[in-house]
This record gives sequence, C-alpha cells and structure tokens, in this order.
Amino acid sequence: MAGVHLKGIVKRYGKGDPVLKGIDLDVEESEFMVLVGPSGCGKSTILRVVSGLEEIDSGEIRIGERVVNDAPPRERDIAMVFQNYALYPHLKVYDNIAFGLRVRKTPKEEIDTLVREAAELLNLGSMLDKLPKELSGGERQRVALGRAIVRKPKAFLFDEPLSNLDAKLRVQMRAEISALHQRLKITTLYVTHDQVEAMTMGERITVLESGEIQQTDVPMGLYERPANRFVGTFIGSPPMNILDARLDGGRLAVGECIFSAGVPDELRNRADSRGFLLGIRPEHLEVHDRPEGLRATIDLIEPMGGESNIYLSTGAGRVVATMPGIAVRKRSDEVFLRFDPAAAHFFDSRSGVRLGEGSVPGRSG
Amino acid sequence: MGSFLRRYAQPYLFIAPAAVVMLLVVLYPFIYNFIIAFSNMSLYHLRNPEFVGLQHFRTIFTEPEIVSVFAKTVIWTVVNVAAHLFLGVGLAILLNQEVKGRGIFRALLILPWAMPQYITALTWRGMFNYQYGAVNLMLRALHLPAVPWQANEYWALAAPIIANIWLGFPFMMIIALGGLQSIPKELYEAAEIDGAGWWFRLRKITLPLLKPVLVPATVLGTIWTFNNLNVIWLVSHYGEPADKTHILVTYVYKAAFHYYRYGYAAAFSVVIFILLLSFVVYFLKATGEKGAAG
Repeated sequence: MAGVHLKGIVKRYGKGDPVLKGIDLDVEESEFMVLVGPSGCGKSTILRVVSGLEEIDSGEIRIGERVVNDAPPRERDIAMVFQNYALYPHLKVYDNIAFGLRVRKTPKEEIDTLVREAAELLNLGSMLDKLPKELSGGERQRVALGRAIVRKPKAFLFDEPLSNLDAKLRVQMRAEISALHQRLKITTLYVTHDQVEAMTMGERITVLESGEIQQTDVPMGLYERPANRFVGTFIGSPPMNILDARLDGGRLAVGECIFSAGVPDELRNRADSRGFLLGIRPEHLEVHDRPEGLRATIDLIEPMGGESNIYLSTGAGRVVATMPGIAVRKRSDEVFLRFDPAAAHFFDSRSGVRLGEGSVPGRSG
Repeated sequence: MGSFLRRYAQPYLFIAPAAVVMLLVVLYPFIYNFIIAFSNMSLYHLRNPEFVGLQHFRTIFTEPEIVSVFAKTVIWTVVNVAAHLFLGVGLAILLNQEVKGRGIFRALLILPWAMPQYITALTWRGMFNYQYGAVNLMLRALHLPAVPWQANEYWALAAPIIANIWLGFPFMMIIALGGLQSIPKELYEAAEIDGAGWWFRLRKITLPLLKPVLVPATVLGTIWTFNNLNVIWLVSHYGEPADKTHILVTYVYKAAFHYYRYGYAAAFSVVIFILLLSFVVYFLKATGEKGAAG
C-alpha cells in the first residue's frame, strides 16, 4: 500500500485548453478519496494519468516513494475498475479474476488460492464457472472488483463504477465497496459525478471543475464550509439556494426584505456596498405564514416521503426549501421564508469565492 | 383449402417473384446437374443422353491426374486462405490504430478488391511474362534470377496463388477491422494495467474476440477460393503448361466447355459439392464446439 501524490499535473489533448490545469492532490496511505465533479471536469483524466493510460504534459505523479511519470501502467502496481466493468466476455469469472495474476506469471496453486479467496470475499463462489454474459449487472461489478483486489495492488482506481447499475443496486454496491475498503484498507481514488455517492463513501472528497480542484475536505467540511459557490451548489441535494444580497445600513438585505441578521466582519468591512451572494441550504429555509422574512409563492411541491421539497418564487429569485413530513400547503399559496443566519453562506458575486458564514446568532426579520 | 388460400394468398404472392427466380437459377440447375451426372451427355449425345449409372464416378476416381489435381486444389485453398487471414488480420490490426493518413491506407488496401477479378487476373498474367513481365524485370533489377512463371509446373501454380492472395486479402481485412472495432478499448486498458504486453493482449483478447467474425469469413473464403475459377484459369492461361495447373473446378470447366464431356463434368461437380459440404459441416462443428468450451 502507498499514498498517491500529484504535484502540478497538467494534461492537454491536442492544442486546446488543458484538461488538467495544475492538479495538486495528496491521497494518503489507506485513504478513500473521492473525486467528484460534473462531466468534463477532468476527474476521469486524473485516474487515467495516475494509471499510466495517459501521459502528463508536466508535473509529478508519485505512488508511494516512487515517481512514476514515465513508468508504463504495469509497473505502477495499481488496479482499475471501469464504468462498463471491462470484463473479458470470452473468459469465465474465474479466468477474468485470474487474468492479472497469469500475466504476472504467478504460480498456478497460488492463483487458485487467491482467486478463491477473492471470490469468497465478494460472494462470487458459485459463479466462478459462468461467463460474464450470464451474470447480472451487480454480479459483473463484483467480478470487476474481484479482478482488482486479487492482485493486492498499491492503490485502487475506480472510474464511475456504479453508473451502469439501477438505483437500488447502486445503494447496495456503495455499501459493499465501503465495507471492502474498511476491510482491506487499500488506498483508493474513486471518481463519480454523483455527489450522494461522494458524500456517503469518501473519507475525503475533492471537488473538481474545468480541470481545477475547487476544494478538498472531509464530507461535512465541504457541506458546512464550501470554498466557493460552485462547491456550495454542487454538494447537497436539492442544491443550495443562491440569492443576490447586499448590505443596507449594515444589515443583510435580500430583495425587498431587510434582515436583522449579522453578516461576517469581512463583509461588513467592505466599504462599498457592492452586492454579494447569499447561499442557504434548502433544509435551513423555514416556510411559514407570519408576514416576516422574504415573501414567496409556492410553484411546486415534491413529496419525498419523509420530507417534501417546496419550490418557491421570491422577489430575489427562485428557491427550494425542504420541510420534514408531508407539506400541508399547496401550489400558489403565499408564504414567507426565514432562516437561521448562522446557517447562511456568503460568496463574492463575481469570483464566487467564499466570504464567510453568518455568525451572529439572532432571529431573522 | 379455400380458407387457407384466402388467408395466406397475399404473403405467398409477395414472395412468389423471388421464389420463382430462385427455383429457376438455383434449384433447377442444381437438380439438372445431378440428373446429367448419371448420363452420357456429351457433344455426341447432346440430344439423346442415356443413363450410365456410376460410370463417370468410377472414371473420376481412376483418373491418373486426380490425385495431383486434388493435391493442388488443397494447396491452392490452404495457402490462399491462410495468407488472406494472416495479411487481412495483420493489416486490420495496423489500420485499427491511430495512424496518420489512415483513410488513405484503408482506401489503397481495399483497391485490389474493388477491381473486376478478370482484369486483375489478366494484368497479373502479363506481369508474370518471362521476358517482359514486371515481376521478372524487378527480379533482374535486384540481380536475382528470372523465374519461369509460365513454363514450370510449380511456378505456374505459384503465380496464380500470388495473384489471388493480392485479390483476396482486403475482404478478410474489412471483416477483421469490423470485428476489431467492436472490441471495447477498456478491455485493452484493463489488460495493460494488469501488465499484459502486446503479444499477450493479441493472444488472449484480440484473437478470441475476433473468432466469431473470422470463423464464418474463413468458411466463405474457403468455399470461394476452392471454387475460384477466374484467377487460376486466366493467370495460367487455361491450365498451362500442358494442363499441369489445374484445381478441381478448372479441371471440370475444361472437361465441360473445351472437351464437351457434360455428363462427366456434372459428375465431377457432384464430387466437389460433397467435398465442400463435408468440409463446412466439419469446420463449423469443430470451431463451434471449441467456442462453447471457452
């Protein structure tokens, strides 16, 4: 086992803009690191350069103590799990799992022990004689996992491994992969576009956009202190509400509504009354009938069972609020919104960079 | 019966034209060939053929050249198909990579196939001319001895084989290229990460996954080559020297249309048909069983 360390990685395809614009990332030994971002953000490219399937234009890739910039994939001693599983269709499950060991000329008896061990761990014992086409999606994914773990590599690379599974199976495999990591403690780089997957699986998460790292932190760190507007809206479902805000006589103002809530000193110190952005998570918005706070009209209610998502229009833009239980209100109802200022986030309106969070406790109004 | 006709008249009417044509150009000649195979039809008995039983079949198997013609047919077929497979798959693998000017290479390599066979065959015959042919001119330029392509029994078989290899590999190449493009690239990437080298990937991934397309292509290629009249007939100029350059079909063709031995030639055709049929049944069974076993 070993950590994976990236320093200033730049990768360019052809003559256009680089896909990776200087990535610095340290995945510690035994860590489960999730790379998350929208499609085209470069997360899969990071896996491909770590695996050696793609060469980098500049920077340094270190696996354990060794700089592997110029090493071919086979010398890097990593294993990769692909989105479409990449099982060999003409080989039985046993031979699929044994493939990497045979390439490395492992003795036959040892291969047999290792393959059966891996099959046991992944509950594949009864399927060793089947061809991939005879397996379900979840079983195929487990075979792909088996092929990765059987070699006992220095690190695992997962490239959106659950995207091809249906929702229920995805939740189940999520738990299985997490449990597997708990057991084997192999350094893992896991790529996904699904922030729920990222939040539930990652020990730490790196959020990427257009080839740049936006933030690396533990899941709740990202959720509670997003470094910028992008991270704020990307992590969390439904996404964080972003509203134009300004200071009015030192107080926070959104639309026609002036709150008595405190704003961070940094914000207050900005002499100009230039606008900024207020970020507030749906579960921190309270919908009520008393005429205090921001006036809003209900557009749509999504009952989720345990909670309801309420989509509303306000003078400052559209927002979504999450309320526990089944909403008693209905479409077109006039309501008012308030929030705990301590739960608010503030971002620069141009750069999107975090300016601080609401800190002064007190009721909105 | 009346209701049956009413119910199915329309679909049968739709397939009728195709069915009639198939009956006329496939089934009727096929059966007619069987009938005259047992008759003494020839230039003398064109209008009044008589039933002669298995007489032609006895003649065929006691013919002094039969072994040599059959051996040449096997050599012709095996060498051609093997070369087509080797060149076709090899070139397909090269063309399937990111090469500059891939489109141009692809077009150039398909060219032999795009030309009418008989023109190609006659051109090759010219090129094999001892004194003025391009092949010998090149050999001389390289200070190698000229080859008697049309005078020596063995070189006279080699010449049409070379021409037919050139004609036939593009078909295999296109088939293999199609097969290669259907193999997901992740399989190679997974193997590369596992540490598999080029040769290992070729043996353990490419070839097994090409098998489903190569087996039917090989069967077709074998039948076409085995029954390929044009190339060997034209390049060897009807079997020269001294009827030494024959495979089964050119031998039959000469018997039928130069010597007018219709009954004999028809019987010979039946033998060829049975040979090919047995080959196809055996080959499909053999490769099919292997495929199922893994």
